[in-house]
Amino acid sequence: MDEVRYYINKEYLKKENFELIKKTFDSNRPNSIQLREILSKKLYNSILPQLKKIKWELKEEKTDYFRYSIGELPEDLLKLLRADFFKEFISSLTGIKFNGLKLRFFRFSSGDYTLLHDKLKPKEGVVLILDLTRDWDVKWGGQNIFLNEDNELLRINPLSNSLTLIKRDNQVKDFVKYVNHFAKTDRIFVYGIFY
Amino acid sequence: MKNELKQWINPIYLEDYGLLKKRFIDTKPFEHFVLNNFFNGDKLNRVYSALLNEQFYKFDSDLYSFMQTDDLKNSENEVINEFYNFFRSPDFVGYISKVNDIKLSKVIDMSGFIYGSGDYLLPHDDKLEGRKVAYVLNLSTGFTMNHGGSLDLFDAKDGHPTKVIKSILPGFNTFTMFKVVPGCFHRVSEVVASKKRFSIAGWFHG
Repeated sequence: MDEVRYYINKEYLKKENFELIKKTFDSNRPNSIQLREILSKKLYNSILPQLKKIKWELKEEKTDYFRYSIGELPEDLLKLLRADFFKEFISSLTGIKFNGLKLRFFRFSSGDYTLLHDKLKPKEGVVLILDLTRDWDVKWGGQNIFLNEDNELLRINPLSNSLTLIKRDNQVKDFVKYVNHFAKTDRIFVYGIFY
Repeated sequence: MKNELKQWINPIYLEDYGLLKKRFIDTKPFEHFVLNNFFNGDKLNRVYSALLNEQFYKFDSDLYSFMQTDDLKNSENEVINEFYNFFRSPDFVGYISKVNDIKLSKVIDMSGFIYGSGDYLLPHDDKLEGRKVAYVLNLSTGFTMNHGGSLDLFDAKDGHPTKVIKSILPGFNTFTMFKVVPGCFHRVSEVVASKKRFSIAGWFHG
């Protein structure tokens, strides 16, 4: 299980860096942080070619709620995210003890989106967004947007090999902005929630 | 026949209302009318020119991206005022009421819209208190199916939209309307060309 530690960029394992990011997370409103270059170069480079082989399943049964594709996580990525080490890492960073982790692997292409609707019941906990989207232009849409009532709280622009963590209660909804026809590539990310 | 109606509306749409419904109504996926060359062309051209001088604001949310004016009841332009006053006149509201077989009040919403390249309105069914009949008056020309910007009407199952059953191309002076009912899912497909889709749209209330 020790090996899983090295899936993460070792800079984040250093005490002084960890203390700094913990502080940043606590001081942001809502509590959040974006960790760039999160995966080790070795893991990241091994995952990239795997992305091309993923069998994406298009979900469009409820286009008044969403349109996107889901796929199976690459094995090493799943191993990292499900590891006790990772759970403890996030727990220490956020100061919260977790019971479990829900994970989904998404692809948003041109024409894809999610919508806010009345039946949406946001789960309280820490949302994680592990982004594998390369060379994204924000003009294409595709951002994760978090809001409370009508107030936008946070907007996450796709950045490859970044991990964004957001602590949220059940009043904070989020959606993925429509990806328009200008998009030259796909938005690919892991969306998880530690609860 | 009311004089104002005759001044504004193409006479073929002022014949016997019973016949009108029979001739022009389309019921799939839900009751709607697509009426080409609905208004008097000259009058509408003037309204269109006046609309171009209104202030449009960017509107952006999970559901849409487009430019929209304030409600046109607030316009300071004479030509827009004239059009707005006709639109909410008892004569015209009465006409819409008869054709759609639904009781309407005096309340209307009306705004100008511009969908540019990349703009869209995602699937929804207009659920909001009081909205009874939705309408779109298209003011653009030259749109083909490849350009996007079509008003798409969905079939529905278990309260969710399924397939697009009808795509209505924006065409100058095409007036589309439909009763707001549960499951009347529709969208404006993303404009994918370097074109601007102009329209005046809103609701009649009841």
